[in-house]
Amino acid sequence: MKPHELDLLHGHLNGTLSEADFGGLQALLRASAEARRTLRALATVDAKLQSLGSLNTMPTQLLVMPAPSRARPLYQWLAWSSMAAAAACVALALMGTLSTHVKPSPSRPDLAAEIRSSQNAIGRLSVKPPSLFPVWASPTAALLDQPRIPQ
Amino acid sequence: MTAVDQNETTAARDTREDFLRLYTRHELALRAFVRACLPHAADVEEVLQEVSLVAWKKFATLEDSTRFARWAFLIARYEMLKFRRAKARDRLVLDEDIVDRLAEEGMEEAPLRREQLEALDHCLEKLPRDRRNLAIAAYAPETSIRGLAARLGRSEGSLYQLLARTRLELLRCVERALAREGGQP
Repeated sequence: MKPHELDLLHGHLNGTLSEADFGGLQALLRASAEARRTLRALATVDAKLQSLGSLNTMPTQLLVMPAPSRARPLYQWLAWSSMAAAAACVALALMGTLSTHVKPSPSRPDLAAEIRSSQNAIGRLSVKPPSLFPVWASPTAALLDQPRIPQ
Repeated sequence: MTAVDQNETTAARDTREDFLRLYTRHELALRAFVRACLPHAADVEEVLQEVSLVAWKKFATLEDSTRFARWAFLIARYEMLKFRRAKARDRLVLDEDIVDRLAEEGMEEAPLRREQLEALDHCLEKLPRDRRNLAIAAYAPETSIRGLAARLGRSEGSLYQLLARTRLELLRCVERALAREGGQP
């Protein structure tokens, strides 16, 4: 079929033909079995789209949204931030549990003694404060000299 | 409820189920025929509604259910001509002789139509998602091409062209699929 004949068939299905073009379409359909066959085939495609369209509930606003490939970074960001939030919650819960259970307690004197011994060892290390400060004014030295765990 | 009443109820239910099964099977082919004759979706729906009502009312007179497609096509042709007579004055509707030819040849093509519709499912899947969504959205009830074009920031003309291109691409895909099935090169 010639392109302008196909245009007439599409124009008919689109409902956009002028009266003059409609006359041309009728002449074409009377004269050409191929045109009639093509019209029936195109109308079959159209009928299928129409039946799918009648089931379509997707708001047309979605059609102007970016394609999924372009939207992926946003979804990835959301997924990662959700996973990070979940991981943070788990970490906080673990820290809470550990701080409750790992604290040396009178029931475990050996552990408390071990930690104190380690702190004393650190205190004995020759870590000197910067020379600009006297020993008594050095925050580092003050920290090292202080026992970490209340006795 | 007596046994006779129960039998009648069962028979009525069976008849209804038979009708629904047959009508559903051939509905798209009937829609395609009416669509070929009428450009406006609302007109197509109006005619098809009449076709289904008349077919249901006369279903008891159909003796051989294997002839349902041809029988329903005759009803559709009659309803199409009835619609034409009522509306031809105020809108562009194909002349009666053209409707007759489209219907007559369409009935002969019923098996081909079923094959085309089956191939069309696969061809629609091959279409890029955005094109498919757009084509389907354009045919949704309450959607006007003007409104859709405005929403998409396109001209009406370009949207009509895109729909025509999509329609033609799908048809070419269907033809290729059927040629492959038929063993043609």
